[in-house]
Amino acid sequence: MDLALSIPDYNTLLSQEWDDLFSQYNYIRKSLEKIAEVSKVSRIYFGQEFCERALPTPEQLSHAFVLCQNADVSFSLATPYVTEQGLDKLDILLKELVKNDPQSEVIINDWGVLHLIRHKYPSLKPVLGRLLNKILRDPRIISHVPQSAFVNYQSSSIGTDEFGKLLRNAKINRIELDNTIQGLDSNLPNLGFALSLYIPYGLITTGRICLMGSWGLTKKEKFSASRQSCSHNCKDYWLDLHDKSWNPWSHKKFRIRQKGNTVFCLQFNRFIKEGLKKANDLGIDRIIYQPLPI
Amino acid sequence: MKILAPLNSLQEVSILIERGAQEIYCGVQPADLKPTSTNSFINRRTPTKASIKDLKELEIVINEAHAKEVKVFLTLNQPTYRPDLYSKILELAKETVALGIDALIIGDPGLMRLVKKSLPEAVIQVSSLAGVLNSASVNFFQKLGASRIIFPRYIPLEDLKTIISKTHPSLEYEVFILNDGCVFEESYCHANHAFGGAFCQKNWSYSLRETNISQNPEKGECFSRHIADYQRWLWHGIKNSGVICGHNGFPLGMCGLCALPELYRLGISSVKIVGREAPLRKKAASVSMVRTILDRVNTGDNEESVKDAAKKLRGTYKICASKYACYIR
Repeated sequence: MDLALSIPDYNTLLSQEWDDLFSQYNYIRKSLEKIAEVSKVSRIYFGQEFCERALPTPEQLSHAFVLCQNADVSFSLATPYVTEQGLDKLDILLKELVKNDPQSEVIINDWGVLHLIRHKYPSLKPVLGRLLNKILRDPRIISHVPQSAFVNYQSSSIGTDEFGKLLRNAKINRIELDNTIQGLDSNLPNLGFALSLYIPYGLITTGRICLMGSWGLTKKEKFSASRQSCSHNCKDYWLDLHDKSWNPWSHKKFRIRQKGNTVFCLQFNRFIKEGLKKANDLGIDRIIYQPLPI
Repeated sequence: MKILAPLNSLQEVSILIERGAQEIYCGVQPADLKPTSTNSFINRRTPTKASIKDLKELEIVINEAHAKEVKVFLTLNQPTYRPDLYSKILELAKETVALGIDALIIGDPGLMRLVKKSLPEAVIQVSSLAGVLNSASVNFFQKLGASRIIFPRYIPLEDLKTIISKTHPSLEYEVFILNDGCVFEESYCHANHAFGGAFCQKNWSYSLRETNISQNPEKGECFSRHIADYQRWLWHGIKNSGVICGHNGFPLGMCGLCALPELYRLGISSVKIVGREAPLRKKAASVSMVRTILDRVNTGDNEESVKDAAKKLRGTYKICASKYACYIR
């Protein structure tokens, strides 16, 4: 099993020892060592899955690539869902990436980005990002569905032959997953794809309208999907969400946390450990450890 | 530019068409596809409230609409399906196409591929659930055989213009025009409304973390004041100001009427009214509202007078001024 470290932010990539980032969560490290016999980061995920406003510059991308080369770790570029402007920005980044390594791996979370890669940068290796796997990720399942019925919520269209053919035609060989509350699908090994699992943040929902990015704007500018400028408040703040009628704070498995435009389910240690065990049993061959998702 | 109206029963067909609907979309819930769990819905709505109850009724809907030269589209728009449902949905697609359904609205590219392969004559419209936000995505779905793209909410006019200019001229485009917003990107929302309502509409409390400073250093806005603005936006834009219709009988909530002249110029084929599950009075009022403003566009009224008329018709000047209920800002 490979261990990838996801660092979406350029400054974090520069300012912290990668190993320190990993050591912050010693429990996860120990679990990985024990369950999957893996302790060394062999790949860096750099870039954004959730927000085109936080994409790196081409210079930052190249620098990140060189840093990975020097550290003898593989490199993957994570990309988000994109508007037309975001598509233009990504086009420039992909061009830069090809200059560094024409066969680099790109995590795609937008069908348009897949189309762009297939037609303009066919040497790059696309990976189906977790946002294009539309499986249910609502942690409220825990209070609305009996555990015995969780199995009904573990699969999605990626388990069909037709979806598999679509991916193979697009030269996709790897699918990325979240450690969902309802558990992982036992049929995953039969799909014929390499599989990755993200920990400890699982996606719940994301969008172009950004609560944190609107903070400090005039009332009229707030909550607009077409807002151009961004203060990047997501870098400095996060929000913990709780609700009087259903208090996820008190839950033993997870906490609900919003960073920027995206709401996550932050999994706790015991749940992560269960996920890692299952991942190992199912032949998931890459764990993506992401200390901060944006 | 046509008005696309939602429908959930035969009784609604003639009223909506009389009010001005030129296209209709609906779901159907045959007994053999009755959901066994909330993860096996076939069209993103609860079966009983929002869908036509069986194929027999659907056939009558289609015939009645076709008699008035109105097309009927079927929603098969879950962003993903359990694998065991694919073959059943394909059968349903075949049956409804045989009944004369004019297009299938699909959000899952795997299902789209399967339907197009097995049923080449089927007309496919790409649901907003597919998250088409850019021209490359339009091209991706066009290659899968789509003939219409239903854009997600909130795409700016400038982006629409660029996307349309870069994509195949044979494609049709549709945008949301009235009722119901989403906080997040519908295609990328993995929550389930059946688990206690929309995730984004829960009464969340927010605790700001990572710093003890409660002031945004750059702008000086207190975070709790920002959250109050957010709740106001939620109330008007997402929760439709808490009512089905306003005092004048017209719906509140998200609206794109002011943008109709520009949408018309861009060549948008169809404007969509949201809400299959809504009561008929809301649907009928929504169609009338769009019809009134679109007639002004069609007769060549200038843009400003169209916008003034739209605001007057809504009668919510303060909300319009805040832009918190605008699909297109």
